[in-house]
Amino acid sequence: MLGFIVRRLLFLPFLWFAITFLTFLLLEPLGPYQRVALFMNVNPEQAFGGKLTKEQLQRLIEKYGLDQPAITQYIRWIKQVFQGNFGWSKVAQKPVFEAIRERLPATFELGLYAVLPVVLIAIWLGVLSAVHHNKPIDHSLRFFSITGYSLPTFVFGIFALMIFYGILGWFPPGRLSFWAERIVYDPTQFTRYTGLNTIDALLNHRWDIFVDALRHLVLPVLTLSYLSWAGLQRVTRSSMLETLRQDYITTARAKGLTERVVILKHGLRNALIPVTTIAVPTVIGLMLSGVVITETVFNYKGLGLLSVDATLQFDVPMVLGFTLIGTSLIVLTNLLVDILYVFIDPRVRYD
Amino acid sequence: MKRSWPILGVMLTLATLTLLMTSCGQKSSPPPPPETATQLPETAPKPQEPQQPPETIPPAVTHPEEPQPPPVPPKPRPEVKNPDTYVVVGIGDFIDTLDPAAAYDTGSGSIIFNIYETLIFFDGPHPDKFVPWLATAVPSLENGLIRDDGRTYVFPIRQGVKFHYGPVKDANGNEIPGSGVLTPEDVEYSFERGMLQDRAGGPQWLLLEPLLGVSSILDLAKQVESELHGTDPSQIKSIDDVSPEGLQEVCRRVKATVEVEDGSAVFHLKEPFAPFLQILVGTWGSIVDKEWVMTEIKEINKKAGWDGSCDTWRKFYDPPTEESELFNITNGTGPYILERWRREEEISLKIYKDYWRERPAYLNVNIKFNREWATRLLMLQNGDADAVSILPRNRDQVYPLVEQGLVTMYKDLPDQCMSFWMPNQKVNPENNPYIGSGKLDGDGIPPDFFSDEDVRKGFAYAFDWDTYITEALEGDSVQAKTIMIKEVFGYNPDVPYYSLDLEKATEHFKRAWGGQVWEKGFKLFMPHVPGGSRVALDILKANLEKINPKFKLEALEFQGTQITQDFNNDKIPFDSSGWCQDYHDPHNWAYPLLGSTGYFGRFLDIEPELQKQLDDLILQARRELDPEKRKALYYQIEQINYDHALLIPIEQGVFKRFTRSWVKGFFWNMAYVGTYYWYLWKE
Amino acid sequence: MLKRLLKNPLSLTGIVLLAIFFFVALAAPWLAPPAKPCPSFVYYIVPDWILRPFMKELPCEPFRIPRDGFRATPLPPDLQAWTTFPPRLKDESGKMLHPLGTTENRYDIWYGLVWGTRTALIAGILIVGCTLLIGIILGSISGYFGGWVDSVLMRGVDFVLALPTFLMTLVILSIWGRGLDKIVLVDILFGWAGYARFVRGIILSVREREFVSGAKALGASHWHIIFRHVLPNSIYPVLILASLDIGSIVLGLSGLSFLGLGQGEDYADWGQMIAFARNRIVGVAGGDVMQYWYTWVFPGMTITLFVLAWNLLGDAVRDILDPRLRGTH
Repeated sequence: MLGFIVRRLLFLPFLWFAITFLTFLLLEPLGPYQRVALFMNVNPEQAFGGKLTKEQLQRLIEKYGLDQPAITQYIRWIKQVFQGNFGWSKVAQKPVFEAIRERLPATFELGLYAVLPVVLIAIWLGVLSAVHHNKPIDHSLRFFSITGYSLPTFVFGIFALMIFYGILGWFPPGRLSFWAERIVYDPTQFTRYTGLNTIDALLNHRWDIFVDALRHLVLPVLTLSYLSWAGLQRVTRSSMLETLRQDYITTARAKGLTERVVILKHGLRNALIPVTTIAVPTVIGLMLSGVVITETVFNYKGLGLLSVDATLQFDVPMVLGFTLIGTSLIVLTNLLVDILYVFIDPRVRYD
Repeated sequence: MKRSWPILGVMLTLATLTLLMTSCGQKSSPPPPPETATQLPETAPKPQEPQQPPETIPPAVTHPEEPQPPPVPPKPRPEVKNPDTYVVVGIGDFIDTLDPAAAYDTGSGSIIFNIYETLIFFDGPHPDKFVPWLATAVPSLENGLIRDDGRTYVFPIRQGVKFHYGPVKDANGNEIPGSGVLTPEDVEYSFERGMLQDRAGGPQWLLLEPLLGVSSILDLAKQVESELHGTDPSQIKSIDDVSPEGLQEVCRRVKATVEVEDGSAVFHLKEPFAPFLQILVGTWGSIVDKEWVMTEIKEINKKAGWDGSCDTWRKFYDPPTEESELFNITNGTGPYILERWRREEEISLKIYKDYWRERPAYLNVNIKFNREWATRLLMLQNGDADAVSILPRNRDQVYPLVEQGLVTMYKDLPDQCMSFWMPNQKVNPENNPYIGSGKLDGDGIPPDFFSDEDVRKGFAYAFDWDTYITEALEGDSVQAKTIMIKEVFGYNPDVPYYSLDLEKATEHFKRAWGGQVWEKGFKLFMPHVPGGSRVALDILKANLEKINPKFKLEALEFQGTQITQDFNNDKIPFDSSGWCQDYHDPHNWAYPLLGSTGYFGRFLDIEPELQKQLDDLILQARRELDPEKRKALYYQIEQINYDHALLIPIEQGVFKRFTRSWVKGFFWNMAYVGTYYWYLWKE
Repeated sequence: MLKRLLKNPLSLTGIVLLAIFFFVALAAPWLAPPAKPCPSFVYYIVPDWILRPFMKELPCEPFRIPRDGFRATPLPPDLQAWTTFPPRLKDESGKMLHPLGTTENRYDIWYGLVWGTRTALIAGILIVGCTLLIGIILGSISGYFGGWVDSVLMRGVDFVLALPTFLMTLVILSIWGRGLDKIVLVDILFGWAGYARFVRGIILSVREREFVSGAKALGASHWHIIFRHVLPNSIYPVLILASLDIGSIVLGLSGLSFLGLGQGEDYADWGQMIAFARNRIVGVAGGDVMQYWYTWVFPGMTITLFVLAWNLLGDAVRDILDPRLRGTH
């Protein structure tokens, strides 16, 4: 088991190297002039009111060593990384590492609220659907999940924004209201322990801020989660359906156990195996792209929004940083899922 | 169906919860006392004078072609939200750096000029009149503060002005004398620090040109080296190639330009330079606290700045933007203190209570960034924002708020930018994708296609300004008529200009290249950024095809950086370009646009004799201190541009501005880099 | 299988919807004729983002939406356009008509949706086709030969599968700049691994069957065996599953163009149309929220129906293909 975990963890740095090296290879055909845009703090075509001259460009190229081959630049970059310097993000106007550290809690908070209810509700609905197989409740839940699954995140998010902010005015975009922002970012009034607004508010005993933070979270969480929710429900349903047809379920029923015990204890536990292995990684993948779109629509200042801005403005170091984080997240989740697998399914061993 | 109710229940609870939440979301405090709002300092303009009359009925809504929005019943006047703060929602973070010596973009400038101050400042809405600010007088020939025929400027420095941070303590805990208050030494240090820092692509060339007659510190170093050691200037490629004595000498020369003489800062110019005062008003003329910058202060700055010595300046020369010691911390004398700046999220400015003028500002400032237009609009509508960035194409969505009196529209606010067609008379033919075959065979153009005056005039008569300005730009512009914006001194209101006339265009094209152009046609490629607007190009293209089906104009899609590179390599034969002034003076138009070493001028390849004439006129006008004579010289330059169709002006922007009506005190000064928040209040 | 799909009302809805979309895509030049006819049919089929690298200039660009003047305010649908079918795009006087109105910047919504369907299907089919081809080739090689070839290829597959596709797309677009061509390329580069693994699994199970050993015994070459015996017996489910991915692939593409990474504002692309619509979704401030309903209702509906159609069909097909669930319907 330990050997397995170590092997999987060793895969991670390998992935990092591969992704970063690939990126540097892709940078190669651009030529130093274009690379200036990637390494400078601003886009040369917009910089200084578009007044950057050839001589100034040349100065910048030499300064950043951009006329050297990709491999030299890569080695230089890797050396920096080992010194804890992931590069400078021109969009965030600070070191990439610092920018990520600052924005990560926001995205984490969003994900936290989006993942937990998703998993629980989806599994519950999936079970419900399977138990009432081919009954109206199954059909309506299926229809619900398929239409939900088909509504693109950006369409859903924008509709939600229109109704709940535009017409009703309940859930404003952003992370905090203006008055709350002034308190939260004032170190004399508020200590930011975790960067997660809801939790910090509780730790600071500020109920008003807690409620405000929650209010800003409702729509993004809903938008981010319903898509994965629909998908997970589908998987749970079919997996549960299959389990319920197994012989041991029939046996359990024959033994006279209550339907509740049969379903929850014998059925669900076995049905969860494919759910964890198939669905959880899919959900994480969906969320990674979903977070980008959701944060854009609701102007929720997290990593996703930052990385879109970074992509649009050719801020490679920042996007790369986000990608490395995302990759690690995926690898670690998969590892976790595999470990969980052992506990759920005693037949599995990694040796 | 029994089990499915909880979902509905959850939703209902959520809904009720949020209804409760909305009521506790806002805090209200009494609005600022109105009587303070009307008392403006003597140095500032009276509010009645600068305020442009707000327009309540926007013209575009009554345009017959537009769908009429349904009439909306007037709503009761809402209570002022955030009464002590002016909230702006912009699109994306526009700030490059907060180091006033390094910032050269309007975004950074718009923040810096609220935090730092300059020796003199604009007189209210007038872009070309000055009032004393950190100096106690504006130098002029009459008051004797401009001396030596315009080679020396003297600024008596105001006393009792305090910097935001206050006095600085040294390592032993003793207050450093001179710190925390404005002294002439601070002025001297601020300019010397800026010039010696000379960030690549930064603004310092603006000061180096009048004070030292060079365009960069490296240029100065080349000069010095060739004088000291007779080194060939082309040998010196970077500052590393300069000898230690050279470095010392460069520093000495820079330091000699600004001196302190009994309570005054004295500037020594290389030669008379008419727009010098204009340059000093820019954010690059901001005054920093010398002792504060030089000292390493725990938890404020990461490192100490330049200590003012000629031995160490090299270390502070051209740092990466973010490594400047003033990149994200500020300590000025202005009405605002930087409260926090969270990248791509918000920037907050706090009122500076100890401000030296008779009152501090009324409103704190909070600028948020949000790329989503729908959100910005809703925030403006709900009053959560007092002003938001509005792209012209979405403006119609705001007009109902103007009609209801919730939002005030200020219109006809002239912009400081101008665009123009730029015919390059001799392009670099090597590997040039824009000239097709490179010959006059109907499948391309020769590299010197635009050296024929008739070709240029043909193009000039073929562009449809009216369609472009009224439709594509939604009337947000006026036709630019000459090489400078119309508000600048030296603009000739009677200057002749080109307008759409296909007959005249035909006539010129028939004469061009001895009739060959007309006979064989041409194919010209224009660079185009993917996703960018192609309207101007499309209009020109359609008209050219109307004149002669053999005239072809095509768009070539390239990324912006590629286009910049091709521009710098003199490859683009014809393109639209734009210039925004650095300071409000004709020299900043004539020189970059038509000077042989100017930003655009060097790529025009105007025929040598004409170019020499232009250069002489530009230089003469720069030295001339008599306004009337100066004006005449610029009129001459403008006439030459028209006669030879060197640059074909397109349009000059005209802004509209939308602010919640409860914000008062706004006025427009076209030379401001942003909003000067000190004037604003809410009621 | 088809019979069962037609019997199920959900999958039948999906099939009908898809048939409509395919018809719209095929009939695009008839439903929404471009203002300037193209000299060759090639330009109608191959989008300009594929042609551009090969041709300096294009004689016509039917995938670019015509713009009615240069103003920005959307125009409402013209009912008089619907007196004929397909709707007229110009009236007698040559004035432009807009069957579904225009979106922001006066781009015709009808034209954009019709040609956007073509863009979506072309991009979707291109991506699925290419990834499938690579996946099948590599998967069969890996599965058939086994040994070190298999381990090397499968490590590659592991590696590609571990990469977050969406994030890699962002990385690559931040280097190369925006554009559908780049998005499609990235999707192909990172999309094949799943298919390869799937094909390999099937091949492994088929490899040991009699007809393969029989062919081996007869001395047939490896390639012959793979392409004549192994693949035809295993490819069918892969093909079906892969084609069902078109829905989610198109969704991904429009998501990226919604974020502003697509082909540019005048390009017939659903995501782009939604991106325009999102500015208009609040109507006019302080007035009617529904003022510009047509800018978001039509594009939003189109893209939702498209994805829905694939999902309805996909759900049913997966149920049928998944032998464990056979008989539960």
